[in-house]
Amino acid sequence: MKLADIRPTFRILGNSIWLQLKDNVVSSQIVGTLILQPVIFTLISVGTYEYGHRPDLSLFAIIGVGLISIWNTNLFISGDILREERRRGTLSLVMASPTPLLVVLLGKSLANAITSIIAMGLTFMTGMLAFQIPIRIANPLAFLIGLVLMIISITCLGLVFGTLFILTRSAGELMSVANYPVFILSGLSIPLTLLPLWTHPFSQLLSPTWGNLVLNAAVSGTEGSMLPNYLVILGLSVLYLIIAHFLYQHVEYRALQTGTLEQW
Amino acid sequence: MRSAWRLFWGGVRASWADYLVELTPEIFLGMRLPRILLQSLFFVFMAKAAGGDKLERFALIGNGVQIAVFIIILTMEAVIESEKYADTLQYLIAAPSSWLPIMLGKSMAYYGEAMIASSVTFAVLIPLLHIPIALVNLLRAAPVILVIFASAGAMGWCIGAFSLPIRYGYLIGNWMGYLMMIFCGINIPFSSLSAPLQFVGNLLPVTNGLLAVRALIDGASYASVWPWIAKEVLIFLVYGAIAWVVFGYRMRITRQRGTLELV
Repeated sequence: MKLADIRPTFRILGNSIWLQLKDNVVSSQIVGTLILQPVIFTLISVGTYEYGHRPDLSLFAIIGVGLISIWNTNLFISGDILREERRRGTLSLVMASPTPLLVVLLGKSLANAITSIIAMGLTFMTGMLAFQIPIRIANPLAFLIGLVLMIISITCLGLVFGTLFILTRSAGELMSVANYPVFILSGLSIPLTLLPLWTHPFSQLLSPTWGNLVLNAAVSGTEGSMLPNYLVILGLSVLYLIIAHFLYQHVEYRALQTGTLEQW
Repeated sequence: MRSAWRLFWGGVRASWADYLVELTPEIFLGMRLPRILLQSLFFVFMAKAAGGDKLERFALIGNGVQIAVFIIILTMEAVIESEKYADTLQYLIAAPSSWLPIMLGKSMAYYGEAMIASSVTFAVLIPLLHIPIALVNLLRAAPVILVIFASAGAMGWCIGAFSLPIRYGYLIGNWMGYLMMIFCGINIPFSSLSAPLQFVGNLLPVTNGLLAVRALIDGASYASVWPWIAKEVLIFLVYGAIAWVVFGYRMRITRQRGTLELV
């Protein structure tokens, strides 16, 4: 990228964020993934732990559901963006424009991730109202930094999947199969110790695993520096961006070669 | 009667054709089935973390049924709603034949998918997680599971019929599926729910049928669980009747007022 391209790129990024935020305000999908899902998942997970006399895991479940909602919002709405572009026949126009699709997608995904902060608040609120769980964040600054890093990182991870959505008209199926492996492998609302040992390397490659650690440590006020975990999240985010970049180049080539973008 | 059968089979063929366009074998085996298994696995793991092996077994039975109920509610709603989006509602309205056989036929592929979902969940997760469930008892419970599918399907039709004039039928169906996980005793015993939750749960499909399924899997006789089965059948009849009346009303009103485009 040339130096002269930086300003227009940021303008496009800003416009994409703004357009997506406006779209989210009127989206019924948002009602489901951002409002209903956090509430229902919190009721199911905390209810299960309370029944099993494991109230020590309730807060862990709430944070997990918050991250689940952030990931789901990103995955479902980002997938929906491409599906809708394809349905409306505008995907080929967007891809043919000189602006890289990755920049447009980055802006839109970032907007979704920003919106999804609401979900984290809702999970805490549901826990407080439905189960009278006292929510005290021992280290609010560490929690905030962790949350911001997670939003950036989940956006980057979403981009990796987002590029795959371009290739298939079954984006809906791909979206629905991509959420539960991340919940399970990242230990969102379920302890990682339940998983077999061979899955642990996969868990460590997913930033939600580290985000879950950071947010839980910040809430409980665990001693020790958070910096190594922050750096891992940042490192993984850069890795996701690099993968997304190469995937996008490959996908763009495939899409132009096969000429099936209009196929619905 | 003969024409009703012909319509039914026409519906079955249409539903399979529609199904195969969306779900090729690659998509079904590579995406749909893994999703079904992973969703159940997630909630079963949660139960294991909360209550050990006992609650894990309990949640597996619940989720093995619920995963199929989820599919049925969503697809039955979609069977009704798709008439609107495919612009075929006017043919249903104008045709002199009853709409019921063809709509039943159109639902069959999805009932098939639900049966596969439930069977695969049990077939894979029971040995994978080493959960003690006797195959004979599971097979004994199969007819009750089919009754649950029927009552869940009637509820899906109800949602489809009620939400026909709006655009959020699928969303409502999706969240009803998740809400049933709270009200119907899927992950934790129904008896442990508070009285208001039990009251709502008793009005929903699955709750009573699942109580019967759990008892049968634990070795109970059909004679001892028939009140639960009878309640599940009653719920199927009530939801089915409501769906019949509401969908019929929607079609009648649409024809009377000429508001087909507004549906």
